[in-house]
Amino acid sequence: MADAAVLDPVVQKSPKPVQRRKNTLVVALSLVVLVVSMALAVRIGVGAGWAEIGRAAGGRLGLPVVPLPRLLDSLIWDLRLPRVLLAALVGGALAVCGAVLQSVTRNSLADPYLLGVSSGASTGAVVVVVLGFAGSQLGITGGALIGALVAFGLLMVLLRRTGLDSSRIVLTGVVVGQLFAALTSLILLSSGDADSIRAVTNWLLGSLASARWTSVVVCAVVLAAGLLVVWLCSAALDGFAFGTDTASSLGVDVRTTRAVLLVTTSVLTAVAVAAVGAVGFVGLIIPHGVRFLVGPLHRKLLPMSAVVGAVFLVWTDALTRVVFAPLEVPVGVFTALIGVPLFLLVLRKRGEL
Amino acid sequence: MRIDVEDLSWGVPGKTIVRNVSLAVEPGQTVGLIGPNGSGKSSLLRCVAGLRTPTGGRVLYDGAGIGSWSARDRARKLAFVEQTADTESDLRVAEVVMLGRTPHRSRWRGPDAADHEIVAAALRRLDLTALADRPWKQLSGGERQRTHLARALAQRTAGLLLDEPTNHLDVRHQLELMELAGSTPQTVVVALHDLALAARYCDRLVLMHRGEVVADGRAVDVLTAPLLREVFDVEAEIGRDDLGHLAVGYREPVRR
Repeated sequence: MADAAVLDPVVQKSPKPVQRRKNTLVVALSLVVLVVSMALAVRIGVGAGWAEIGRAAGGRLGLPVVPLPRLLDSLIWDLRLPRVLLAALVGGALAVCGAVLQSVTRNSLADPYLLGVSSGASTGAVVVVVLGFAGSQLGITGGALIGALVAFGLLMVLLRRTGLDSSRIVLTGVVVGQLFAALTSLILLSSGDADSIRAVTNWLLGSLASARWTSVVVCAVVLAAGLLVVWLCSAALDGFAFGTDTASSLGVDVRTTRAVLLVTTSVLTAVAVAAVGAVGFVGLIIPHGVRFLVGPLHRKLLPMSAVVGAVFLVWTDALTRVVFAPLEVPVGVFTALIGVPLFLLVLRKRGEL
Repeated sequence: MRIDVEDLSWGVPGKTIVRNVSLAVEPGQTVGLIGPNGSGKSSLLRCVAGLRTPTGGRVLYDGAGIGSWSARDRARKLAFVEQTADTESDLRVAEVVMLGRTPHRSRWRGPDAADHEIVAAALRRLDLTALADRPWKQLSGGERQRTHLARALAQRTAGLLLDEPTNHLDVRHQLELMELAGSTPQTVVVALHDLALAARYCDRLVLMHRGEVVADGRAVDVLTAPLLREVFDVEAEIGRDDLGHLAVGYREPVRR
């Protein structure tokens, strides 16, 4: 063995430690970027400095600080902080779902909305608006969550019959999505007035304006649990690269693993969509960009996707608040506007375009 | 590992593809599965690899059935290389070979030093060390096939099941690969199209036709003109080349 290593320059050089240090650096750096981004994003558009933000947070945490004027305090603590946190959580969740589904379906165009869960959420939101429960803050969110879970249930019932083959997942997801999209249009056109159509359209394009601490807590818990589950399936997600038989021969219980991953991504998507609406493009592009940074192995890809997705949505949301101020553009519009050129850039760098 | 195939059948609804096959493979033996396209070689191999559940009969590994094994248990005992397994992913050669360590690794930890050592050894064995950092998409068909074999070796199993592994390889790598299959202490079952190659490196040949085993034994007994005519529809002459290896010369296909 020793002789072979001497004869073999590549083994002798052993590039692994260098590689690992580089990875640690990338992870540490991206976490720093995330924290700094969130801190900056809290400031943007509030008209408050670091001192005020510190006082608002300190006051809540029971620290001996001079309290802020009530309005400013409420603006920072009740509106801005949860909004930035929610942007980070939703961005992270969508990017992770995209990365997982791209591997499970072996389709690089897969995104979290592929499964039709978001269309179910839209239908739920529309029903709530049309029935006039939208006034209460939890109305649209609650309706969207129920709609998403109904769509997810239908997806699972259909997949139970057809099995969990990758192309079946894509086809069934599209069918479920189309069904709920049709239902949404039907309800909206048959009984919606101009106001509710406008409210629903805004929600469909995604908006973080209604972010509250309840959504933040729910999203944080679900994202933490979901990320852990899919991260523990990293080796299986890598193994799917060469198809079902090879994955199975590597010791992956393909059926069970696929079921676990589908359930987890559906719940993550449902919670994210219910909280902020269907923010497009994050789940599609972020994983591709992150693969470019850290490679395709899911042990690194999944946590890095979460961080980069978080940074991306925090900044996109900050931009929506300032670019056309005082008008707020739905964040989904901006993710696409920024995402499309980024996506093209990544594809070109990877030599795929 | 000893592999006993007992009266095994497998098929899809409406069509039986493998019919009542029995086969005993001694530990360390290299058995070549030969037969025309559609004769059931690949399906039999997948049943033996535990990737398909037989519709009848069973496979025993050192006397034990696969029933109680998890996918992970199975993958620690049996490695399988498909005929063509491609990917759109940007995996590099060493990363693909590292996939072979999947059944041995904890979910919580990444590959450790021992895993890296085993991968390096498998790369050396398949002459791939210089390509370790090469992306999959830049590999030739033969390099891909060798990468898959290195991945299967890194799995460190007692049984190795190969579905036409020499398909994309040039002559030199065909010989090297078969030499490896013949000399490894693992129990190897390999489906092959090249009859002379099969004869030269396998301890035993199993000839399949329409899902059934029609001959099983030493190459000289299996590769006979009447059998080849019956199974492959070709007129063939069996002889020996200057080196003493069995050689198969084909005339023309049998007209019917």
